[in-house]
Amino acid sequence: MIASGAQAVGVTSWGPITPPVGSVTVTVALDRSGLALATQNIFWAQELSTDGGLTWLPWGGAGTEPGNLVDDLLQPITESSFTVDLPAPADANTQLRGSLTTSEIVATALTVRTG
Amino acid sequence: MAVSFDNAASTSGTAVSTLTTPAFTVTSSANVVGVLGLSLSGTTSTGFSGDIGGTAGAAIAGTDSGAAQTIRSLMFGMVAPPSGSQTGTMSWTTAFNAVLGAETVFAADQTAPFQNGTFKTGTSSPAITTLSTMIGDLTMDTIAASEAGGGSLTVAGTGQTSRWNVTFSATFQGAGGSMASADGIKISPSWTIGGVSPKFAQSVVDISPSGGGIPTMTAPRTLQFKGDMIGRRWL
Repeated sequence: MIASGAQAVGVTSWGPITPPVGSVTVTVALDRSGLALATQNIFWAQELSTDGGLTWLPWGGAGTEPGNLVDDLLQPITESSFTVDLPAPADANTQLRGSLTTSEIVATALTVRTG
Repeated sequence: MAVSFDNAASTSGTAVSTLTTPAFTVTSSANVVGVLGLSLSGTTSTGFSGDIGGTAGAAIAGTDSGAAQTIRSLMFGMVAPPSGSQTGTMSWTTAFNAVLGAETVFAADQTAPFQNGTFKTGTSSPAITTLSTMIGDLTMDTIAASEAGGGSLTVAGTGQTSRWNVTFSATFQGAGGSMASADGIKISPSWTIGGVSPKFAQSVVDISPSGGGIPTMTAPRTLQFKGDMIGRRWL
């Protein structure tokens, strides 16, 4: 939803998008590959509309620290993400939009996946 | 009036140090208390903070499992979060996989609602922690679990209701639930952990009702009359 590249300081918005009909979960993932030299936490969040964009509710958010992270097997962690359930399976009136908030210029991207 | 469940919301995250739940509606009923339950895949995080609707919470004493196991559970609580559409947020240092649940109840004591906070860790199923309670209390718990593969959590306590249950991966799950004290004696939130070589960290707290709970009378009571007798009348 936010293409890979250097993200400006401040809030970058994405959407609205219409998830596939029948979707029941949404994952918003932040690419960590460019965070090695970053020094500030990064935050991203999402809003949901079930009436075709007339009204919106906060629908999940996350933040992460900069730097290289590894998992239990010492393998690099390539993304940070949050996952939320939709209140009902997505239909034609379901829309998502969101934001990415940075305190420094950082190379990253946001991807939205549904399930 | 007994403490009553209001609403709950949850979310999970990969390699995060902040999570915010979807919006949920907090009741306008009297005497509301909010609880945040956090399950983490690691134990080295510090600097926890949390809020529901901007009303800051504090760590509920005794509920942080710390480094007792390889996963961690802890609970935050606050009095009188705002009514209406709100979100629950927790932040900490050191990113881990996490499951966050936010839960609100009403008819709860507003001075000292969080009683008997405790945690238990173990390496077998079921995960079960027993509290002494009083009639009218509501017991809430948060659990973090890990298995060698194919893991799952299933609520198992009698009368216990799962409020959130996330199978994050085959090796990490987080959940939370609540149950009312029917007899005011003991209450045991419990979860069955699927998979092999289970590990768990379970945090539990009792929410006291406004006006106080009712202790159970477990022994026969004897009434005594004392006074002076003049003639055949007690004065």
